[in-house]
Amino acid sequence: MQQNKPSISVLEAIGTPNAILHSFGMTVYDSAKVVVQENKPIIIDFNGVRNLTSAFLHASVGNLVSLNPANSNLITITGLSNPQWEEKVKDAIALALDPKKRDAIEYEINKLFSE
Amino acid sequence: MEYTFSGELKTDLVGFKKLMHLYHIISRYKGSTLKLNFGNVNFFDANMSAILLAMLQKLEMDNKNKIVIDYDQIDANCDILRRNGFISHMQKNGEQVHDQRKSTVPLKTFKATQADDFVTYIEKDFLNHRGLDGHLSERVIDKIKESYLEIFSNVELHSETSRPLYTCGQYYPTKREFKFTVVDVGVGFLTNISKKNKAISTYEAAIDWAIQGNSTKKGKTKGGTGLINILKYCRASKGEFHIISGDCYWRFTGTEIEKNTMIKYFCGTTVHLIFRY
Repeated sequence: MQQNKPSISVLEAIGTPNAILHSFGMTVYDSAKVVVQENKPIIIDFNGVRNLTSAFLHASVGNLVSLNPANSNLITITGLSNPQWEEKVKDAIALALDPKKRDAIEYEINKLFSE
Repeated sequence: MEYTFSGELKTDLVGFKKLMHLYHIISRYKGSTLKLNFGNVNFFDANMSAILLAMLQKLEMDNKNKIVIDYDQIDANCDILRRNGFISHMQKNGEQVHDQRKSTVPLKTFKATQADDFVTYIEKDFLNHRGLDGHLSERVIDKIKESYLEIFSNVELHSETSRPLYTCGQYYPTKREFKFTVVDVGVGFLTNISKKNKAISTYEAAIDWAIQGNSTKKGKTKGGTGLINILKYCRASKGEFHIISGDCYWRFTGTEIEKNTMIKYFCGTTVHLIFRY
């Protein structure tokens, strides 16, 4: 049951609503990694976060998923205030699970370079 | 020693080379007093002052030089450098500038510890500037903001310098142009990228690699440099996008990519974005 999972508030962990730095992401990663390594469920709560970068997500969520790829479903993300952030979280998880994945944007830009 | 600027200093390869010439001439001196003469300047893109300030502060710190400027010459020939805060940075007086014409995005410096200040600057001073008002959709604003926050993150992670990020912009209402510049004085693109990918041995190749969405972020996953969204926006809007790192001046003209190799280097990375509408 979700309410029994340990939860980490990103806002409280990094002390700012701007989750933009890799180092901020590593703070969240450090706070959660023991739980993930023990194969226990955990909630990463983004309530109150105003700005979010892929740098932060790769350092936090991406690295947590990489710790235990087979059990990535034990990590629950909540409180994303911007619908586009859900895509960014998915990208961070997908890249953590499959580093060779190339998305459509990259393909489009690659085409530009070959023109 | 006195160094004289002359003519125009614009956001292009020639303008950058002029600043590099200044940098390499002055960097020969140590513990000296050096005078900058602006008496023959007739045009200066305010955003280029981000590069000039980065260079001058580096010369002051590394070479213990003292830079002297006749501020009357600036007031006479390029007063925009007073209005955008360049002079108050050089005088180190912390004076808050107010551009009555509202044509500049103030010249600011941000250390990695100032993430919140940088966000406020990007949101309010840059993307809320009257020069962009009504010209960008909310989605585009979000994407551009996100790109600069990614750039800030990359400077924290990769630039290997404790020096700040320098930022500045200028709006040209008549020309319907808005120019915005970000400068770091770190190691540039090549150092970290070549460690990750041995096949990349030139700054040009490193910029190409980075702009395609690659990154050398620590950890097992790759990220992105924030450059890709800016390039996408420029491609859609015919804007310009310049990246200068090492000896490479990389420029997206709005329709195509041009690359120039320069003889001299300046450390770090400079990114120009030129909006047109």
